[in-house]
This record gives sequence, C-alpha cells and structure tokens, in this order.
Amino acid sequence: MAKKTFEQAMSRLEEIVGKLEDGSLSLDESLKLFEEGMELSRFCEAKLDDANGRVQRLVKDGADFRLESETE
Amino acid sequence: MSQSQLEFDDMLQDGTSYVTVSRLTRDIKALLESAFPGVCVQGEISNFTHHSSGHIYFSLKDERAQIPCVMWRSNNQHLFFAPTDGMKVQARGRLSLYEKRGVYQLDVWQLQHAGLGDLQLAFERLKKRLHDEGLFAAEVKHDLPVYPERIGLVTSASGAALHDIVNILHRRAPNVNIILNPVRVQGRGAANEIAAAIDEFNEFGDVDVLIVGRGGGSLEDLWPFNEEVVARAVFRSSIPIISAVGHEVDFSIYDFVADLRAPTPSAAAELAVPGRSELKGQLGYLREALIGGMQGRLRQQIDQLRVLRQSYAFGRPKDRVHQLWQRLDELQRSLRQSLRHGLELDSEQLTGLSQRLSLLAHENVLKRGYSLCSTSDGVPVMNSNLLEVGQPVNLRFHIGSAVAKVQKIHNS
Repeated sequence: MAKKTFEQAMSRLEEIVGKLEDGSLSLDESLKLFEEGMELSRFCEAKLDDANGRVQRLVKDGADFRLESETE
Repeated sequence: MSQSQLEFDDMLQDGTSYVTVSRLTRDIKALLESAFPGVCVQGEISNFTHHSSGHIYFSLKDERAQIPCVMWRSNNQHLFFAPTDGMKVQARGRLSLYEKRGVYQLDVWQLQHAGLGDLQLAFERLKKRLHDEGLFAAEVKHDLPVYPERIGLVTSASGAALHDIVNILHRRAPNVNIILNPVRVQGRGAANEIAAAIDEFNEFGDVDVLIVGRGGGSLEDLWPFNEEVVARAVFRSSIPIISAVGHEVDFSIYDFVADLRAPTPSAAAELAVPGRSELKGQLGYLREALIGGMQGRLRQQIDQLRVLRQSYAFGRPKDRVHQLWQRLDELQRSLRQSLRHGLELDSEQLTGLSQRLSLLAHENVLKRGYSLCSTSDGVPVMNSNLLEVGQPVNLRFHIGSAVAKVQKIHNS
C-alpha cells in the first residue's frame, strides 16, 4: 500500500463518519468501518503530535537530487 | 587641433607630411576620450546581444545616428531589468576608441529606462500579453493541498523571508518538512535562477506545495518577479505555488500566475498549512462523530431486534439466546446510560456490545431452529390475524428458505 498521507487519512475518516451516520450498513460492516476509523484517528493524532519537521536544502547533483541538512 | 599641431612621422618627397595610421588613431583617441570622459546618452537600443562572457553589446540610436555600446559584465550584473531592442534608455559612460578596429564605442557603466513611464509600459505590455495567453486564468490554477507535509521554498538563503517562513511553519505545523532551494532574489539573472529553482522542484517531485518569494524592497529589487521567465516557470509547474513577494499592496506579474497570492512571506506560511490546534479540533470532532455514529448504529440494531423479538416463539427458557433476548432491554439501558452520562464508549466496549448483539442477529437465532416468517413483500409476520388462508409466505431458515402456503390460522 502506498504511504498514507495525513490528507488521505483525514479524508477517509470523514468518509467513514458519513457512512456510519447514514446508518444503512450492516452491523458487521459498521463495526469494520468503525475500527478502521479509530485506527485512522490514532494515525492522524500521532502525526499531529510529531514535531520533528526539518529544514533541508535541495541540491542538484548531475541528474539526481539529494537533500542536505540546512543549518540556519 | 590643426594640421600644423600634429606630429609628423615623415615627409614625402614632394614635401607633404604624413602620419601613420597608428599615430592618427592615437591622436583621435586622445582627443575623443578627453572630450567625453563622462556622458549621458539617451537613445533606443538595437542589435542587442548578450555574450556568453556576460558582456553585453548593443547600439544606441535615434532617427539619424547610432553609437555602438558595450557594457562589461562587471557593470551590467547589477541591472535589474533585461534590456531589449526598442527599449528607450539612458546610458551613462565614457567614449573610447578601439584602435585595432578603428571604431569608437560608448563604454557604459550605468543603464536605466528613459523614464519610469517606460518601465510601467513594459510591465503593462507583458501583463496584457500573458493574460491574453491565458496564464492568469482561474481554471488553470491548482488547488492547494489541505494538509501539506513537505513544503518547498524558493527564496534567498540569507533573507528575512526565509527566517519568517520557517518560524511560522514550525509553529503552526511542527511536523512539516521544509526544503529550501536557495536563489538570488534581486538583480540581473535572479529571474532565471528563480525559474530554474521552480523547474528543479518539479523535477525532484517530492514536495506538496511551493512558496516562492522574498521580503519587501524597491521596484528594482522586486523586478525579477515581473520577468516573463518567472511567470512561465510558475505556469509550467505542476506543484501548486503560493506567491510571497512582500509588497503588500502592489501586484507583480508573478502574483497573477501563482495559484495563490499572499501579500507577504509570513502570510504565505500561514496560508500554506492549517494550524495544529485547528487540526486537533477537527480530528476530535471526527472521533466523536465516529463513536456517535457507531453508537447510533447499535441503537438502531437494538430497536430492530426488539421489533423482531415479537415474531419468535418463546419455547426454550434455558436457551442462552433466549436469555440474551430477555436482556435486550438491559443492553439498551446500559447504552443509553453511558450516553446520558456523556461517557464515550471506547472501542473495546463497543466491540463487546456489538458482539453480544450479533448473537441476537438473525443468523444466530436461526441456527437454533427458529425460522423467520415474512410475507412475499419481505415484511416479517408478527400477527396471525393479518394472514389469510392460502396466502404464500416466505420462511427463512438458517440454511435455505422456502415458500409456504398458509393452511390454517390460529388466532391468539
């Protein structure tokens, strides 16, 4: 599975809430979606608690790129 | 200087004096250069060429004459605009004569537009041309990502803009990774650097949005953002771009092409990411809605089962399922209680509850030999009074189903 982004997770969470509130799913399906939703909400919470954003510099090396750490 | 003041190299046989080419040229050079040690010339640029060495060559002309000019790299690298043929300019410099080629030239050390009006005119002309080509149209603008995690910056490595942007991004979204591709943001060639940096980010690919800009400055300082090459690079970019040129009130051509315009670099950082507390609030709301939705679904299930309970015969009191049926009301009460006290059921409690409920679901009851009787419309039959002799009814068993016909009716 491709790396899930925060954006995708929030989007899927909103979708799940909509489906559950709709009330037309079976109990099993509802429970499955609920569990997926809780997992997503934990994932998003963890991302929001992450404070490790870095500043890096883009360096072109011939045809490739690399990232160097940037000290301010 | 009259002929008599010139030095002569020799005399011809008939008595005429002559001078060599070098001698004459040298004298003209001295004359010319001393007479015009510094001059300001206004004219129109033509035959403009930009040599790979960095030196630029052009002619300044008017209706009747022209003067060849050169502007060495060391003098022209501070030019904030790109001279083009047809542009009316004022050139400050000194006249010099190049003996080897026998031409005189204006050695330009300063070049400027003939008037601010000309600069404005050039701006308006470019703006109109790009607008007509569709570069400013709303339809071609990209949507910004709502929650970017990697942000690219095209700005000066030493400016205040970088500092402000990084501070604000760190505060609002400390998880966001910032990638800088540093450029010069004023002077000759800055526009090309800015355009190249945008192209590089697109080649690199792994950023969600770009912030391109600089802090405030004079019209000349900000001029690179009015150059066509920057506008085209922004238009080409498939990564969304937020403009961040600190001129608050004015717009540069780049602002029109960008996907979102911010009045300053700080504003751009604020617009690029949602604040963390905002997101936490949103997430909290979604979690509550998720749990509420699940609770609602469970309540719905309980209600449905209560209705159906009446259509099953009570035959075996010791049956566990039967006991659970009896306890259905208790289950409902405990659910209602937890909601009334504002307690959220955590996912474990909900799982447990729904597992117990599922025991009561159709399948599990049917496994015990009960069958579900419904009319041909699928409506469960709860009251024999509503049946007619000869009416077909559907019977659903644990495995399979059957269509039966009512033979006899016993009313209770």
